[in-house]
Amino acid sequence: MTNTIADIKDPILSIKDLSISYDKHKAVKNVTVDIKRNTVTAIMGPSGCGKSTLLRALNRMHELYENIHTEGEALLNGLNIYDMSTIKLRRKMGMVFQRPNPFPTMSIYDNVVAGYKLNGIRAKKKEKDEIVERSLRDVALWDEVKDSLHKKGTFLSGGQQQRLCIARALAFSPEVILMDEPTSALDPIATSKVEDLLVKLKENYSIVLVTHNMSQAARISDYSLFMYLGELVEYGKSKNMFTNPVDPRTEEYLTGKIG
Amino acid sequence: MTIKKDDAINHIQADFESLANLVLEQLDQMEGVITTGKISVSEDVVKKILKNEKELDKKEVKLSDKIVNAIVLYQPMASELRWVIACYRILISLERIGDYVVNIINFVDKIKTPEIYDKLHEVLANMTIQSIKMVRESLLSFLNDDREIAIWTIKNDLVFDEINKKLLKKLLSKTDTADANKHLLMSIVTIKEMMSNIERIADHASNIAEAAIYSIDGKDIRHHKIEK
Amino acid sequence: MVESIKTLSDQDHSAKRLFKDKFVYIGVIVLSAITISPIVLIIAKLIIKGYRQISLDFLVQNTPDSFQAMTAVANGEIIPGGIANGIVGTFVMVVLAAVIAIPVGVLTGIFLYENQGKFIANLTRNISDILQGVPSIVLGLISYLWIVKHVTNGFSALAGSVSLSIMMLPMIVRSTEETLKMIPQTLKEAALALGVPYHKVIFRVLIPTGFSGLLTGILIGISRILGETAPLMLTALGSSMINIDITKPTSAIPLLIWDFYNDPNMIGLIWSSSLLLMAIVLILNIVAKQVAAKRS
Repeated sequence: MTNTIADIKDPILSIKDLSISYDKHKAVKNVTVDIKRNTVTAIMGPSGCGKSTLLRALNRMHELYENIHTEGEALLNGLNIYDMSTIKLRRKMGMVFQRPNPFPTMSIYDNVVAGYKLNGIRAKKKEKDEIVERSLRDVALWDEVKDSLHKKGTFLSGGQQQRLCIARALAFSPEVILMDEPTSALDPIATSKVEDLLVKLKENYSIVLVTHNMSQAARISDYSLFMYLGELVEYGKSKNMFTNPVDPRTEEYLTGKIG
Repeated sequence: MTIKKDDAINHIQADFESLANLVLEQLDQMEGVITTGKISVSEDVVKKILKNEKELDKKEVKLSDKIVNAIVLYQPMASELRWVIACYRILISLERIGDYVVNIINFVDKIKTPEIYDKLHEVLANMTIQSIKMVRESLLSFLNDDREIAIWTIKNDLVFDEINKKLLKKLLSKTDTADANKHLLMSIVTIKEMMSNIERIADHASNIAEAAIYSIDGKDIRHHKIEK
Repeated sequence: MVESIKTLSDQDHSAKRLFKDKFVYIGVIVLSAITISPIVLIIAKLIIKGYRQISLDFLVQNTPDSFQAMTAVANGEIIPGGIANGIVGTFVMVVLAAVIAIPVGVLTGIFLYENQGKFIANLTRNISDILQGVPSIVLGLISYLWIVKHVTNGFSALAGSVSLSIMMLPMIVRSTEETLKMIPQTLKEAALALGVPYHKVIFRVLIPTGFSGLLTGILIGISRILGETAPLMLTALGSSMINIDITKPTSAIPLLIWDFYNDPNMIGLIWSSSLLLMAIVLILNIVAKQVAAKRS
């Protein structure tokens, strides 16, 4: 019963009949949806509705665990994500997690280019310098840390650490940035800085954001997905979904009756 | 965890219903006056209506406030948001209805020619009863989420407008006077209509200004006398 | 009801409580002192009895023979010579044992970490724990059989190292596994999300992050085997010269202490040797703690 309100032309991500199960239990049931390019798309829903599970399937993080099985397809720019190596895929789809997780043994500089370093990709110092500066400028951290690039990343505040993690994801110039509740561990001011950042970033990237905070989804997303008990209940432009949802379950969630 | 929000919305609904009932009471009083067909209104009735009007004004300001608070504090969404906003819109209309009641009562007092009033009082009474019915039904359509009644009211209004136009012409044709006078009367009435509309424009300008002051200072000065 | 509450709040037990506090406080201090005292007494005794023997010569010269020692004792002089052969021998065998045990231990630890809950992992872990309980002399016997008899055809440093490495192994395995388990899962995920292949995640992210934990385990393992004597008696045997050929017998500080103990002329040397050994162990422990503190 998916009400796809929007007819997306040339979607960046196309999810077709995707199902994900943990052992026997289906956590995500037959989701079909297109994600529009250069937008912030929010996936919202109550705890346990499958939104994080869906997000993590997009960069095949589930392959870390043996008991998780995926069925169905997901296409990135028309290419099946299972037809490419996970390494290639994850360079096109960066991920930012709920708790900021800069590598504790690396400096800020090294953290930004960690994707290159850890993969053994050799780059000239000049190139690396450019990547570091560009990524840190993109996340509005450059001015704050440019004089302490060689200090460890763990000395930054929570909000700065999270922005560093975003910079790290941006270093590969991915096409999509997947974010799993990126501000739920941050204080309100850090949250609002990150939110402003996302709105700016969508010019060059497509952002898919899982959030349990309806107000956040309402504030910054262009399109929203509402998931409930593993199903995709509704999908459409945020401004319509928050004032005039189509499905009664969406209505109940927004007015606080479920979740 | 929506107790506070649900409470707030329930309070708004209770206040709204009480305010709506007050307006309906005003309308009933007015209906009473018009159906008697007399051009004098009893002191008691006037007093009652003015007292109610004052109370209505107070309630209106309070309810507006509650609605604004509910929006900022509880961020209602979807149908709850729409309900609260609709409530606010209706509030404005109810205030205007209240004003019209007071005006109409005052006009009755000003009629110097009871005969003509007598001739037309049946028509006026019907119109009054119909429009009051429309108000009652439309309020019910809001409070009971009844789409049909809402649609009926809107359709009825169109019919109403038609009747209104024809009525005036009929009124004039029934008067016992020369044609030239009839034209004169028509013109005066038309000009009076224009003046009323112009006056309403000025009125709205004043409303806009009151809203500006609300925006700047957070004070709702509707129905208050401006001191400074 | 209200009355009894009132009388309760009226009572002032603070004097009694303060006394109890003081009493327990003093009690804890006394008991802690008792616990620390053996170490303090040992070190004190070693220092008192052994400091005179410690000199540069002590550290660079080989052990004297019985005759030299006898003459020195008879003349009331400091016994000549030193324990250089023991120092070098201990060093060589410990390093070799570490070289053997560390890769095996760390990789096993990683294996256990990766296969939590699986039968083979639990089995391995249990065996490792049992290994830790095997008496050191038995390990010496095993090493005698495997190395002395079949590899080096005679006592050797290699045999000694092997027995020591088996002793170190369970400690390294355990500390590696525990350290890795303590690293938040989210770090692994962050590295994977950057497209890093799994084996690189382990070696370039997890191990460096857990480095201090691993190092602590290794240092503690080393400080444990520094003083092991029984296995070395069956494998390294001992030597009066400095020996760096691992296929030949070699000395070690604990072996020398045993030798000195058994020779009435050299008995004076046991204090200084023990003091040196204790000093090395202490320093190693302090270094291990510093590393752990600095990293966290």
